[in-house]
Amino acid sequence: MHRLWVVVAWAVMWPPALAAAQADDPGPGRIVIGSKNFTENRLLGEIMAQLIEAHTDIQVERRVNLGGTTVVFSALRNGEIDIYSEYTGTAWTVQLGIAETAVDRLRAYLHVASEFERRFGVTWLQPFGFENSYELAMDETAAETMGIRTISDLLPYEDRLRAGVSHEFLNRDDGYPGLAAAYGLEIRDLRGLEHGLAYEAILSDRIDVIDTWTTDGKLRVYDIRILEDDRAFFPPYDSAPIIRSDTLERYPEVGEVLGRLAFRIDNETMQALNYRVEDQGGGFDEVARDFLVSAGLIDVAAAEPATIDRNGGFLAFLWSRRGQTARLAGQHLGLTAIAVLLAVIVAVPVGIGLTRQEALASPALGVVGVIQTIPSLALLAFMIPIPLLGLGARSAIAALFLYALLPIVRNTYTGIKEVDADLLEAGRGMGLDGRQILFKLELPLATRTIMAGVRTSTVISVGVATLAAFIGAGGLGDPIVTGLQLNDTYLILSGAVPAALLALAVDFLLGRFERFLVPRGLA
Amino acid sequence: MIEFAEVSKVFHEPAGDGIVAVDRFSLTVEAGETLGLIGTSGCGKTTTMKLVNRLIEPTGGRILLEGRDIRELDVISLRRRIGYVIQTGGLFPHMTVARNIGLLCEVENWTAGDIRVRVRELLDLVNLPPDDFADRYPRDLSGGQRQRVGVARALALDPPFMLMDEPFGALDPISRDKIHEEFAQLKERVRKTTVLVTHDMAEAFKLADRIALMHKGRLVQVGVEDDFRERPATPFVEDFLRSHLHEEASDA
Repeated sequence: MHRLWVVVAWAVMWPPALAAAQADDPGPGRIVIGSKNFTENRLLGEIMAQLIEAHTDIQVERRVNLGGTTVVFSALRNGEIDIYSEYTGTAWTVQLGIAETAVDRLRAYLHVASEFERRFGVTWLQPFGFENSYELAMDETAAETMGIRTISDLLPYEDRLRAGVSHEFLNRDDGYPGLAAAYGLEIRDLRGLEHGLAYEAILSDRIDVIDTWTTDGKLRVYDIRILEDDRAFFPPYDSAPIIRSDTLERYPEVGEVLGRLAFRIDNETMQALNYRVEDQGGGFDEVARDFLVSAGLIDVAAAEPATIDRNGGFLAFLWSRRGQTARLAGQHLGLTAIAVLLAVIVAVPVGIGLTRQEALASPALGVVGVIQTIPSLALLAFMIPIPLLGLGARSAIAALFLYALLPIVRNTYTGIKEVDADLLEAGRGMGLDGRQILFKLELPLATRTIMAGVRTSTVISVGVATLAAFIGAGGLGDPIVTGLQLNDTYLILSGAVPAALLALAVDFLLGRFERFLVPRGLA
Repeated sequence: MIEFAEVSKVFHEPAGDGIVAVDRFSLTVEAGETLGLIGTSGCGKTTTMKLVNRLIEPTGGRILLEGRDIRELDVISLRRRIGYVIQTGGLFPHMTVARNIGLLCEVENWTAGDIRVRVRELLDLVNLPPDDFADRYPRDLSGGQRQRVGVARALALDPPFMLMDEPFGALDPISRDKIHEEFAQLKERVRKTTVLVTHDMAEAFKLADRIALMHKGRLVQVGVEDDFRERPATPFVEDFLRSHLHEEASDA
């Protein structure tokens, strides 16, 4: 047993693991700015952050790429973040759940602002000035051939068209379901698709119709026709910063500073900024800074943006990011290590317990089995509202922990059940007590099976941990998520390849560790 | 001294009346005596033996060890006073020979030095050179060697009692003959009150001081070799003797 404790102590005291475990609560003089997981929203977050940093002493923490609206908004309500930018149309249908379409931009803004204040204690600051409405789009040539100009024109083709829309659009009332009802439209071949991949899919003629939005930077590059919303289904989508009212009370200067952004970003500006990030390889901080400088909102910043080599091929790109990749891999490993370690600490005793309480075994294995079937993103999202978890590492660890339970519980249970009954009777007959039988016979004899469970759990966790980026926990998922937004294959691979290598390496090391742990007479 | 007094064991099944494995068994094993408990398979001999170290609890009657009811004794310390040897040796595959033998000393908190000395002593006793065997694992031993280690392990705490469940049953005839010789000598050197379960009449005649023959859970006859040969108590005893000794003859 003492060998195991050495390992446990080592892993617990391992610095990257510790760093990942400590959740950072914003203390006094700090605010947290969040964003949804798409370019524009993240860029707006960065713009707001830099503006506040330039004009106040408040420390700004960025929690970007926080999944969809539900994730960001629950983070705001829990106080995990203080500010993010929202859209009136989204607020109208998603948070407030109003069925009728809002026709008037100003009335929509005033209504959501007063309702948010009253119901959620969240204040809407003045709008940025642009409107980002959902739209449907098709390839220009294809649309021309079919003679499609408006959404109503799609109706005759509803059995033939292939639509690929973003997941949020697929499920939101102000997205496809509402649209379908308003137009009586029923596209037979309809699937959810990451928006970053939609344009490539339309160009390679794999789908015909996609959803997009007014300020999508890609509209500048691709030959795309926006279909007219001839029944005025889509509500107005004015974007504005929203802030927790208690944060605003504590830092009134934040409201004042963000007020300087009011009506400073029109549709065209926003589209151009999105375009720079997505297609010209501009970093979020760089594009935000340039905008603020050119708008006269901050002085010329001294810091030089880091240059990243994109011309020397993937390996050169990977090499230029090595520092960052190493840091992300460390975070990734930290999340995984803590989660699996906690899972071992819980699952092994549970597995042992189940061999003592046979009646509980099948219900208990059923429960941990069901956890495994919850989609990983959903499980991550469930963690956020739980007190003490919230956004970031703790929630990610909790979700990974839950995933890691099943293989370890099941293998501990099976491993112990498989121990030769004659050996156990020999042990009992010679006068070993229950504890001695467990620690001197059952556990050593089940080591290999238990370790196989631990290895399975670890490899699963390394994979699932790439999704931790969606709730702001970092790790190698960060470049994957950002790369998907930016349509940047190198960036996606710079997360995916190290993650895969990490999984292989961890499995290899655990294999070596298993050989060290399994008693020699059994090998 | 082990006294069985009207001991019964009925295995209750969820449906039905239950199976009587041991039926009012009464017998006294004298101090230092080796009792051979013999019978066909399913006759209740192993069950009877396991009642002594309480791997199985009786449904009726009492068992006294040196005059004390075993149910009044702490089960762990009871078992540590009874060496236990089973058919396949029951060696723990993840432990070396030395650790298998010294395991009970280890849980009794002996010092490492004392354990080492005791393990060597026991290996010598069962004719396995300690330098050669102490660090081997069970998988590297022959059947006969495993059985010797099993006996050495049972003797580790120098218990006054021994239970042996067909200890030599799985061996080929030649190694069995050899180990019988050794065991007979060993028995003279370390006098234990022993219950030796076997289905081999020749083995019982060779190793046991007295023999108890069981049939369908009941004790049929107790005695020495001559009693069985000359005065079989029932036709069953006669049959058993004839078929089993014949089998032995053709075996060898």
